[in-house]
Amino acid sequence: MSSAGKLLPGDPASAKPETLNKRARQSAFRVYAGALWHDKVTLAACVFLFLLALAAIFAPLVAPFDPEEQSLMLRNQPPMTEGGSEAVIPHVLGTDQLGRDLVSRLIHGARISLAVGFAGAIFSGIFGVLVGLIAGYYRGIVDDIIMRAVDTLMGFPSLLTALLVLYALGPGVWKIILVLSVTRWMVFARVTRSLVLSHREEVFVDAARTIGCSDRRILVRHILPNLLSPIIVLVTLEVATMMLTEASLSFLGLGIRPPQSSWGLMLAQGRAYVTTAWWLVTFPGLAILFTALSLNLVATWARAVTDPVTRWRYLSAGTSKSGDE
Amino acid sequence: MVRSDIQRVEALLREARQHGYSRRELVRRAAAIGVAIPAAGLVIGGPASAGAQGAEPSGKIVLSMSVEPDSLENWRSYSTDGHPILRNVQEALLNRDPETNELVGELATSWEQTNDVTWRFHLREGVTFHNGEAFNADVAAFGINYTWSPENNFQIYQYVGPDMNATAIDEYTVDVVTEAPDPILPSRLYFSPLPSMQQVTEAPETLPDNPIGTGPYIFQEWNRGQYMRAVANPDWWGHTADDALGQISIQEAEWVFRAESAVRAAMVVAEEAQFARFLSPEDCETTPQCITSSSVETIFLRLDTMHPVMSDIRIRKAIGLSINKEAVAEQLFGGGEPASQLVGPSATGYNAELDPYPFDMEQATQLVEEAAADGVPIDMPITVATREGIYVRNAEFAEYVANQLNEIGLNAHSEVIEIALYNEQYDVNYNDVPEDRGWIGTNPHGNEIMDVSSTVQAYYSCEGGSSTYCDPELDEAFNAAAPLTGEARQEAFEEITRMYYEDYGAVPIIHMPLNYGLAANLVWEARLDGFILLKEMSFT
Amino acid sequence: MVVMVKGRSVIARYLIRRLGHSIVILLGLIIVVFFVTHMLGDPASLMLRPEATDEQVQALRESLNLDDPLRVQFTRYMGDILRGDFGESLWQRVPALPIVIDRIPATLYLAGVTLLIAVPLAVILGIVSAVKPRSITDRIVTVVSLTGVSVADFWLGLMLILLFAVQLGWLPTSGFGGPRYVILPALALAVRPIGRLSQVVRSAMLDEMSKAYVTTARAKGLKQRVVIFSHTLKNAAIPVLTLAGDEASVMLNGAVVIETLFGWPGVGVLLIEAIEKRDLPVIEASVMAIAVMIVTMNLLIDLTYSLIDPRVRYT
Repeated sequence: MSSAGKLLPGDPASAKPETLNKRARQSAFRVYAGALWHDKVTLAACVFLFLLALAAIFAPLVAPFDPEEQSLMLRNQPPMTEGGSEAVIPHVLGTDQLGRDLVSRLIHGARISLAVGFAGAIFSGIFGVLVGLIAGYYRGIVDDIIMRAVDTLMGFPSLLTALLVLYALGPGVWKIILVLSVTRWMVFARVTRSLVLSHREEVFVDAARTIGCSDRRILVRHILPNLLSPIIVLVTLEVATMMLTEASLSFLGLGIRPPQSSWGLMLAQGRAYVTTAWWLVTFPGLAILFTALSLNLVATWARAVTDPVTRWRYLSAGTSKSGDE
Repeated sequence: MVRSDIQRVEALLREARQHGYSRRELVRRAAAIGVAIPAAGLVIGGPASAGAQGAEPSGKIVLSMSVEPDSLENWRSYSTDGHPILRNVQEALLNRDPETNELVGELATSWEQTNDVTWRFHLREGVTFHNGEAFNADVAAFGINYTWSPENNFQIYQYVGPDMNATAIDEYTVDVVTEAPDPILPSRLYFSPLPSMQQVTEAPETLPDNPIGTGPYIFQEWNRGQYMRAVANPDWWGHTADDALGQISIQEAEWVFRAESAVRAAMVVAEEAQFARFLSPEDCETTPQCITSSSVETIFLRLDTMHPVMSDIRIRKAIGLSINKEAVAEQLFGGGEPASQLVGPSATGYNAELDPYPFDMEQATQLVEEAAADGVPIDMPITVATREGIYVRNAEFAEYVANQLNEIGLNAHSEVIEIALYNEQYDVNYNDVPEDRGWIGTNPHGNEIMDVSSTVQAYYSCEGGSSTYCDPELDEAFNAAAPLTGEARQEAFEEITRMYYEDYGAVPIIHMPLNYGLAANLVWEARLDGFILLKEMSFT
Repeated sequence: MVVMVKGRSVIARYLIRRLGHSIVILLGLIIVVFFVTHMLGDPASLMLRPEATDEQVQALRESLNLDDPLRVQFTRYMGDILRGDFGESLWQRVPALPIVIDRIPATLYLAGVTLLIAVPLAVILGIVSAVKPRSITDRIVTVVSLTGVSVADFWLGLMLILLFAVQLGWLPTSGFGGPRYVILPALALAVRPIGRLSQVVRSAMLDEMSKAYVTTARAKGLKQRVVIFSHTLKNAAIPVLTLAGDEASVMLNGAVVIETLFGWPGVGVLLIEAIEKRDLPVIEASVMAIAVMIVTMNLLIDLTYSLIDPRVRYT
């Protein structure tokens, strides 16, 4: 398919600056950066994610206290409590149910939570989308088999899946990611398939087939881009869900072992103290919220900016907010 | 009412006086002939009317429990879910005095041991079941044999000693013969309320849903997943007896089930319930009246003594010294007494001379260093394992213990394990445990029978079902002590307790406190055995 | 006329085919659940206290017929199931299927009310957001949606109880009964569907609104509102419907945390407890009931695709 061909409206395979020459690519980067600069909210989200990643990677250097240092006497202390005798700074966000500093635990816990959330969402997303594409495009018996498998898995209790993995493979972070992916990919398959079902009937698909495009090309270049926006949104939302679900799995002994922690596990452990030590639940919850929110903003922005259908909102000069008026 | 109806009612009332129908029976028969009589205003006459006890029972109490019982057969009263309902509807031969904890008569008025293997019980007269069946020795013997039968193998059977067989000697005397001497048979029988023989033989399919007994409350209905209801029994024998240890002041009772402690407490605060059980310390403080009591449960560390590290007594002693029991009691559990042994002061065999292992991190570290210098492989991993949700704050406690062990130089981590998978590991006997498992289990031990023999059997004997300790000398002493009674028994078992105390067989931590949240106007005191008896409650 | 008749028989054939599939699915689930549950441990040792002896556990196993070889147990169980007999709950000692059936109305009731709250709200929020993307309204809606997805359900449930039941006394804390009892659990359950659905509505609508034909339609002078509703909503409906179905399946599987918190007698808690206790008859019966509901729901959703978008056909 030549890019100079006559493409019908709505066909995503229209020209993007990246497909042009190198100079065009360089100015493309400047264009995107400029767009980001103009969208302050998304810029803030980007910065937050970047700092979060740094903190997670360099956790031992960044965390003010040892996240595993217990103190029964300093148990459940509110934010801005003085640290123990050797401490220079206070416990800014308080201490947890065994007297450990909350900030340090949040920073160290970010590693697991981010890993579980991202990996889980991406694996289940990729697998689900692939399956959904195949099922929705080819229909017939392939669709039947795949969708019935989806139905079956949706009816199978996730707790049993978790216990089965635990029993057969033992505990560990990767086992959690496995369980989460196995139990959550179905929604991606179903949503993708539903979108493929309607889009495959579009005029441009027919046109592409008539000209002789292979199935794979049609799927990837003509149909898939139409689905990307809602799928990306779903994936970012899934990150939050994964982080939350991980908590219950760790409670079963499936996942991480104390004194390691994750945001989800901190939430679950703080459950008993919701009324008396609200910070135990609030701060991990906020961490999950800000991460998911930032991810959502950045991902949807990135998608919108690169999609030729929607990018005009973001790239025209002076467009910092507004609708299509 | 129509004239013919009036005549029918009068005939019925005459009949009732003649045959001594209870009010409940009268209402039932009236309904059968098509007439509705409000039960409240009726006075049939005769000594059995409820007026004799004093004030009419009134009011309704809603009790917020944590777990719904799976079923309501009489033998289910062994479990903490079952007895709050069952012990109000059904009664056993014996109960315990709420204050002294001594065994007292309930459906039996006295008992004695006539020979090594026979206990004789003299039964109370004038007791009837809610379905009208009379209580006598035949019914009692049947009930005992049914409940404790090896063929039936109900879960309560796990509390049996030697097998027992009950026979009726005369109308109000029952002999219970055991296959081998069983000095604590009465405390087993205190555990098991008696069912209606009529119900068991004629309508066994109603047993799981509709318990019929002799007790102060008549079971009304069970809406599975939602609530259970009972009403006061106007014909209860306790109205006219002076050893009933309680009286009926509340007319209706409803048990509801909420798994979350915060919600149980919220129900009391919002006045939807007047009693909430098993609250966390923080939640309990929000209720108008918080009662903390000790219980028969002791939290302890069960050490894998076959492990290369924990087989060394210095290590075991160090573990015992590394736990700050007072801090744990106060900070984690909101109360509770540090424990020196697995049973509480009320149990036979409790050795009052022993103190809880002290808290001394320095000495503990020293001991570990000594052991390491002698070649004990202190790097071998130790797992402090706890069963998901087994008691409040168990996960934190396990983390704390692991932390302390690491501080003294051992290599420990804690794990919360799902119920069934935990049990698989926990229920393995000493001889079958792999040497390197290195588990420290943190189950609570409940000694409902209040005799240390069952503790020794379970945890300290070489063949014990969940024992990870083995000392042939201790086994010998145990076999010698088991058939003893009275003072001899107490002394022998005190000695056994001292033996494993000094060998650091396990590390007792605290006697677990239980928290109950009550409405401001509810009068009730907690019992050591954890029974929740409505006849001991009243509203001001 | 001919087309209609043909269409009707196409639907009928499709439904029969799907019915056949459903039976295969249900059978498959029963078999897998059977073997997985047996792999995962022994119910008898759970029924007795930890201090019970090995002989006592063994005796209990035998009295519950758990000691027969797996093959024997399996054939016996499958035979029973094909006759509609799911057996007796090991713990409750009453037939398993009636216990489960008893709980379904409560689960359906809660799921229904939750979706009734969530879907319209989510659609409205999504539309409001998409109309002026990146405006203050849009940002607020996005934050609200993401909060709904990120919030811990037990926390929200407890907060609702403490505020509306304990502090204000407007609603009961928990339990099952008339309409007053379903409000708090449904609110707690609804936030995640609202969050997800509104974001997907927003995204789908933004895509559609940017497409060429919309611009063309507007150029013709149609009012913006008409443009939004007729063209874009219909196209966004398909993924939103699918997603709503996914949310519903989560609730049908039992919103365990909410049910536990509010003492709601639904199927979810029953299933989780049965799994923890390895109570096979109840597990099987619950999985069966839930799977029937989910399969039916997915089938209905698939049928609805054709209604929304006539280009989608049944093969």
